[in-house]
Amino acid sequence: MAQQLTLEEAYAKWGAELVGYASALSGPTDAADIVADTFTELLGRDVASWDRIGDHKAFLFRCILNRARMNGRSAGRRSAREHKATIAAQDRPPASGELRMSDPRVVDTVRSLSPLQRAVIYLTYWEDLDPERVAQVLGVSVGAVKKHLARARARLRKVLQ
Amino acid sequence: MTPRYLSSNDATPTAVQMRQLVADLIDESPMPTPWDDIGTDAVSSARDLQPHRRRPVLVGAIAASMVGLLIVGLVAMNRSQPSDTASQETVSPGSGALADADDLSSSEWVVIGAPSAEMSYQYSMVGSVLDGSRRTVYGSSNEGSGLTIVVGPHVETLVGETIIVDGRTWFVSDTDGGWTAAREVGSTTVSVSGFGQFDTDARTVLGKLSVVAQVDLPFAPLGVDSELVDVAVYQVDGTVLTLAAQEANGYYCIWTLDADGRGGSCGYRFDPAEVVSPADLVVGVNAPNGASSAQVHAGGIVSADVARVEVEFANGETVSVNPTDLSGQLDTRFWIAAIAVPYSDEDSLAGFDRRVLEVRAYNSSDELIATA
Repeated sequence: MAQQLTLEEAYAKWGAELVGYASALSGPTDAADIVADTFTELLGRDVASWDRIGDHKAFLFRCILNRARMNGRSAGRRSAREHKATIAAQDRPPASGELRMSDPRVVDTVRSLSPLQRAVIYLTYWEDLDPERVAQVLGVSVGAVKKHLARARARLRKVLQ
Repeated sequence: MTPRYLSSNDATPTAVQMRQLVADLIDESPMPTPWDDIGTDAVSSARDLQPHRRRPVLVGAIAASMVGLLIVGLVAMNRSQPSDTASQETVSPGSGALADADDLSSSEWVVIGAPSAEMSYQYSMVGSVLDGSRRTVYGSSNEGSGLTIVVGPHVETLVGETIIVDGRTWFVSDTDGGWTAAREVGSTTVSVSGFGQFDTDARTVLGKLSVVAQVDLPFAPLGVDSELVDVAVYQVDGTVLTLAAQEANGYYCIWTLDADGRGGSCGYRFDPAEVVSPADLVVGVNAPNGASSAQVHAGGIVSADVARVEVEFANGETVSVNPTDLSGQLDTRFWIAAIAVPYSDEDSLAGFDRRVLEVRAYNSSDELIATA
């Protein structure tokens, strides 16, 4: 049986990665807070609940997604401000086929993706998980993962054309 | 070899492009909060907010709480949007200028006096998470951005730069993306919030605030129980779920009710031209403690020409419902649908997946006319 991590150990081990994941879901402004709030809430729960979890990392990915979704509703204004900053910072057109966040079209497209869609993209392309594992981590069906992936790709494809 | 799911449909965007995109997304990630800063004061706050009893819980974007009147979420999301079709009402000056008031009664509101080039009235709302007596007026400035005026009891000591407007002291502070100006008026605090920098226009707004009685508001405030209309009903797993709504000037409060209570939110504006409201407008989970299954529900608004709604939940299950025809009561229609799903302790701890994958709206000829 794998050794159980405490919450603090889990934070030390995956904290930076979870902040990166939260950045992908909600942007850098709130990422650290989303992760910190998630652990704060977990600290308030009974230890036995945490100890019963089989895959702590997958569980934390799911917690971060749920908190990012809650956070997303109040982030509109911030997002608009970051968008303006991005446009202001743009100093060159994107090279053909290049897909970068410095391109406001990409920013718009990514912003239009739901946190779940971003989570699917992150886990698929960054963590290299297959749809079955992504579905397991996020607690959704495999069909939902594939559908979200297809929709996100379809939207991004339009940016490239 | 690239897995099939990475290359389906089209060659673009490639897996390399997608990976680059994710790299860009996380490129500016901040450092994690130091562990020592987690679990101090913030933990105490979080513990205080947790329910003290284990009982059926209802969570969600709108159905976010079973603990009394909860008005959150979509208000913040929608109130900054200038109204396209809702009336841009102004308010006649009522009891007088706020600058002349030494106190406010529980039935008095603060608005921009008419005629006003600075603000058009959108809607008002009674209550908040922590205080049911708060009175909030939402409006749109002449530039289209939102202005919010709140009257409520003193909550905390006012801080910020002090300015004098019409002989009254206001405390002005920066907020996330905007400003807030607040002053004490007898037993109440009046705060005005707007976007951008606090400038001369904002100062002008403070000088034009008027006090009006509730009956003099252009529309009855949202959040008042007596005006709720049952707009849709659905039965799942032996539980009857009811959607109730309230409308003022094109803005809605929507509540989900079941045997244990209700949860909901106010401030959503539905433009019938949209045909169908966002898929996650009303989402929630009713998860009794210790139960092995939960009820996931979703609901929303559609235009009057929608005869059937198909709801695809995140687990792939699809439910078809017929929105209630509310002719004579409301110009829109509402729907609610639900499914029963397995539920575990881990779901309870992580937060439950309550997402709706897609909402499809069909007309009376059963033609698909919109999706969300």
